[in-house]
Amino acid sequence: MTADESSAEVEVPLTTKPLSSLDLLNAKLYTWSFWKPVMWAVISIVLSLIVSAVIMLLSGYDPLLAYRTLFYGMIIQPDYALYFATPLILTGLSVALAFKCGLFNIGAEGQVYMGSMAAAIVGYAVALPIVIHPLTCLAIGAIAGGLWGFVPGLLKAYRGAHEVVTTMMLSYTAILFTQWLATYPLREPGQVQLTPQLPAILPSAAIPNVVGNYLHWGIALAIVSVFVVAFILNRTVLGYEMRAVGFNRDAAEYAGIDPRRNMALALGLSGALAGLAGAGEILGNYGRFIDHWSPGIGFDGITVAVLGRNHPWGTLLAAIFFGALRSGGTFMNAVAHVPIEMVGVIQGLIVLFVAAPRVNDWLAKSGFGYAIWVKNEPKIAVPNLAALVFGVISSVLALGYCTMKGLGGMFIGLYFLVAIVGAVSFGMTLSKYRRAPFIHVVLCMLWLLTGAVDSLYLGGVSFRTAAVMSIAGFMIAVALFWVRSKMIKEGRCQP
Amino acid sequence: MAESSVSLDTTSRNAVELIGICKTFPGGVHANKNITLRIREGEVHGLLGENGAGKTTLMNILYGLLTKDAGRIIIKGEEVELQSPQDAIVRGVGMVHQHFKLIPPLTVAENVVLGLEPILVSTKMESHLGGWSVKSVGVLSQILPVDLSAAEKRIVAIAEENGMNIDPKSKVMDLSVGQQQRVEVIKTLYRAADILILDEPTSVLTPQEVDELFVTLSKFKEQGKTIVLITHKLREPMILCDRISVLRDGELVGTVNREDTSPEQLARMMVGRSVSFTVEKPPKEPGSKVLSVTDLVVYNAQGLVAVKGVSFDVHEGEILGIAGVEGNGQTELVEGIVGLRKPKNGQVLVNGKDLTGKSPRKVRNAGVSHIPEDRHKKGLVLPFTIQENLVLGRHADVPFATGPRRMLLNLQESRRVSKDLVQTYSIKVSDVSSSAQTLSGGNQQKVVVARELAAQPKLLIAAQPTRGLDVGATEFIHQVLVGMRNAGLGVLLVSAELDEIVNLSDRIAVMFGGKIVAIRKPSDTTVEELGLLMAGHEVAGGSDER
Amino acid sequence: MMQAIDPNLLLLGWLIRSTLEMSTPLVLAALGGMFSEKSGIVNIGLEGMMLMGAFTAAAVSWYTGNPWLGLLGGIASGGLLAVVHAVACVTFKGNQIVSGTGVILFASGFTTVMLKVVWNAQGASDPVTKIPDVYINPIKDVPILGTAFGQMSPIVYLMFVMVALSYYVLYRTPFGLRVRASGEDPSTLDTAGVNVDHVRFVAVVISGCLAGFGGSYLSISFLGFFGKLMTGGQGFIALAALIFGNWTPIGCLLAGVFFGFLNGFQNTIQILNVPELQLYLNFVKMLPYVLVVVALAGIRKSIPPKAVGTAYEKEAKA
Repeated sequence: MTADESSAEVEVPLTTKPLSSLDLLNAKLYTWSFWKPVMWAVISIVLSLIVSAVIMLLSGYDPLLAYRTLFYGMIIQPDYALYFATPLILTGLSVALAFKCGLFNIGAEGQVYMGSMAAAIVGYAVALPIVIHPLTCLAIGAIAGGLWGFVPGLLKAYRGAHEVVTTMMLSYTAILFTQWLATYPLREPGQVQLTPQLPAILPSAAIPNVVGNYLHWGIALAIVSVFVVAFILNRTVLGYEMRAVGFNRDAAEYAGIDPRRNMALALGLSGALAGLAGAGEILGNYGRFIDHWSPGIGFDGITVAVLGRNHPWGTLLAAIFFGALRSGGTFMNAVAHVPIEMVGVIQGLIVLFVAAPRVNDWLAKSGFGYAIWVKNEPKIAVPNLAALVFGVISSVLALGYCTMKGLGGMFIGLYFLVAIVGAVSFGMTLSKYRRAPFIHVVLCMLWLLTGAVDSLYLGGVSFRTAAVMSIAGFMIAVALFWVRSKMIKEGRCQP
Repeated sequence: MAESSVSLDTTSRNAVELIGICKTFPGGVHANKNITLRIREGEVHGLLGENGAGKTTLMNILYGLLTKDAGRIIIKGEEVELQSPQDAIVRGVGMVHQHFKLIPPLTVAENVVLGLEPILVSTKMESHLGGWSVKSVGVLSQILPVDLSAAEKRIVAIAEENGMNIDPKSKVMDLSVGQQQRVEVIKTLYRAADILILDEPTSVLTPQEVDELFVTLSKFKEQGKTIVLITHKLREPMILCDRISVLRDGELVGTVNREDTSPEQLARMMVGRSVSFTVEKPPKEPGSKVLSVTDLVVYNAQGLVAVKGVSFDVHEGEILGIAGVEGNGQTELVEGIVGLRKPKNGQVLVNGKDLTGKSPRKVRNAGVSHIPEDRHKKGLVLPFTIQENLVLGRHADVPFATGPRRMLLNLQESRRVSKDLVQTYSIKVSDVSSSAQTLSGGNQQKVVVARELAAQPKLLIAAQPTRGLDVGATEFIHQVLVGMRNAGLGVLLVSAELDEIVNLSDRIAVMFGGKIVAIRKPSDTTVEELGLLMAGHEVAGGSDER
Repeated sequence: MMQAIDPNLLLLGWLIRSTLEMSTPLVLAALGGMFSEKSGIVNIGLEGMMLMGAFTAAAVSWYTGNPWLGLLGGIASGGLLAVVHAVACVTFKGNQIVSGTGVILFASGFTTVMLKVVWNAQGASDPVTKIPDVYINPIKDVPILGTAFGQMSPIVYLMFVMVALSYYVLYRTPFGLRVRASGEDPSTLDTAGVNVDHVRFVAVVISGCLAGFGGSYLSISFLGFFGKLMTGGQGFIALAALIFGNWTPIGCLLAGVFFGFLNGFQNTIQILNVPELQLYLNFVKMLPYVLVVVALAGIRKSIPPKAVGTAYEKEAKA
């Protein structure tokens, strides 16, 4: 079906038959505003993989092998990936839901801990029949997490306390509080381990596995939660009001919506989802509360929500992606011996790129603008183009030397500096920043310096390259400044 | 090669030349369409136009705050490419913005020197070293101590020289509006500006303050400074200006000498036809009381009394207009009635029902609709779709909410109603599921009006309903308001546009200093009398129609 | 133990010393946060910048054997990470909190990977050369003072210098005036002919440098090695100190020292080894967090810079 057909289909039957949500979805799928963020998320992932590859190169790992094992690991164990994704879906939803109401729940981790602690207590201290027992535990866990989110919600609504700060502070409070509970009043009697922990939950409370050793039925709970959150946001009065408050608090208040009630509720619901994530992990995975059990699923929830654009379905996809990344990471660690924390680096970079979507616009615009410039005014643009290429080559070459074995730390530092200045020079020249030529000169001087240091201390490993680079660089610089002076004379550039 | 071709005779006479300036905003608004304007040295030049005609945009471009899409700027004979206000400031251009560019928690002196801070070392050293200046240390000067006491001395000197009185050590947030404006003027003088742009300088001032300002401005003129006065009022340029340029819809209509023109001609140029704003309005006998406000006292966001015991009634089938210079408590009065601000004292009755201090939802449910004065801030949730905006406020009521306890949204119903409203009010949209951001200002206001009237209210409160709208949309809104009155609604119209009030209202209440100083019938009063009342003058005689 | 000194006095001296030591990284990072937030950019990435500083300082000190070079490296790396934050939220007007989260995630992952690369270690690095402590011999045997100040890292003293310097920069220089203006009302600063983005960029980088400074102290002065995720939430406590200190240098110092005191108090309790007191240790640890929540809930009025958290768009139509 083509875009035209579908939009026609949307327009015509309006008056005759009511639109189904599927038609609306179909129409939405053909809009640019829908695809742009999706595309940008994908580009962010690619960009962060590239930067991570550079970091791996610098650390002496083989990025090609690493990525091969990573992607292989992501695909071969879907159950393992979903196992990692299960809590991430819930914490991601938690952050996304609060965000829809204009609130940043950065302390989902604390709500996770409160929820898991409550569920663990009910899990071992109360005897209930199977099915009912885990459900009770989950409900209590959700309530505990919900209350822990409701408090900052109330403070935000009625006292104006900024939720970014309060949720974060309460998150640490919760971790310390549950630690205390696990260390003193509720500690498993006769326990010998160093890490404080609670007694194991009763078998009746455990959530069984779906398949294999990892994936438990919590995944079903998580997916149902996605449906529920999407429904609440789009189909209920509550969701409508929350979104209205999130977009424009004043307008919502004017329209008779109580923003305070909605904000408190949103953070409460958000906390409940995080609490559910914690409870699910205890019942399905850990089997008891252990101090500091969470590998940061609350914090990762932010990543998931950010990549998923705070959209319930986007969150689901992002969580599965990050889950797969985790599972691939373990495989990569085992085969390519790249530390599992590399996944954290990738994750952090993705968030950074997603945080600034305009990098994408800028790249496209600058690149396009540059091409036009070169075409229209080759005399002026070509030296700049040379500087641009020079920046890239410098960066790549320097990074290459960084990874060479047997170089001193200071030398690596120097080359690292060259690489960074090269990248900066590239960026500035691309955006036609008026002081870009000066950065270019700095880059040339750095090459000169590395060459000198090399010949003095290292016996000229890279001396010839450095010499060639600095000579070429200075030639480009001369051309650059000649062009620049011409442009200043014409009044098109500021001195 | 593009040689700047400025003929010599124009350079000697023109302080500023703007040639072929074009500006389109990212939203697609053509704010300036090929405007060519020459401002002579030493003249007071009026820049007249309605709200949204592009005056401020043009001057912001001259001040370097906005970038132009096309055109040339020549300041004092030198063609310039303004990257930032700094480039304009060094060429002697200063601007006093309508919304003051002052930072309340900082002192007057700190506000004035911002961006041009005197360095203690340099002021001390310069006397010893002669030619040594701040420039020679470059960026380093940023972390050398500021010489605030020298700046304070200079500020006092500048103020005294121009007959102003200001304490440079006081914080801006403690100053009155008039004093703040003085700080703004001093800011430009501190930068040795000789081309002064003033954007709607009188809109927030009391009459005394306006007089003082005019005295100051005429002093500047004697000193040979060039002044550009942006305004949408006809009276001011006729008093002060040598020449007046009129903008309409982003285009320059023409430039005239004050001696050769009249307010009527200017008004014609401004609106594109002779001003006869009178809307067809059949006489109508007002019915029973819809709204009754007694002794209402409301505080503003800063905790000061903004409404000081206001009483009035609105009847069925009448428009009560509240006239007044902005900032005299009208905003707080409306917010106090509709429940956005809790009154400290007094009573609000709608159809005999006490709604004092009730929540906005309760007030809405009692049959009160409200067109807010700021549609972007209050009237619309811009990222929402048009459909979602059209049910805002009624979303929780049948038929838009269904299911148990009306918890679910009825999307089909709201879509159907939205389609109807879009048709009825001829709102230009591609689809009701596109976001409200994509609409033009006029269509956005239509969305607000459509929604508020669709609730079938008994009382309509319209605050500045035509602000920022073009003539066509304004006329549409006026017709709607009168139509509602004819249909028997009570309408409370708050507007800063006196013409609008006079033309639409059945009774006019004038607000000044948080009080209603008079209530008049349009037939019993004159624009002059209303103007005096708005300015806080006691008017002898005249009977109140309470 | 030396000769028989009254153990209570010894303890008091120890508490003072511990307080100062614990508060140094907090105050430094809080000052960093202050520069950023005063200019209008939220910096929740302080934690990440501290971690980065701690790692780089240890690594450079390990490679070169010179801890002062390590300190420089730590400061520079904090600043470099701040450049990333600044590019994301100042240049490209990204979401400041999201970007800050990214900074933390990146730094946590990166430093742990590098720990393995540089020292081939999982949890803690090899010992690195520490910045030598300053000894004040004349007071060595004075009961309280001797224990408190007899031997102290020079960075503790530098911390006080930084507070004074920050005060000077923020309230006495053109740059400080511009930073404050940019956090209150960037459009006014723009109208005054100052490039808002430049001011904010520099402020954020200074912020990262100070956070890196604080982190460096942890690794090359306080402990003498780099440990995995060794900042352990101190960046967030610094943020709390910043709020508690009402976004002023003196306030940061007082709040930082107070939170440092709570930490020092814990250490002292741990030394005492009284089980009854140990029981409530966690509640002492919670105090900074709870206090900030209480403070924000309105017990004390704290006024953040007005424009903090919002990107400044030049071309937006007024």
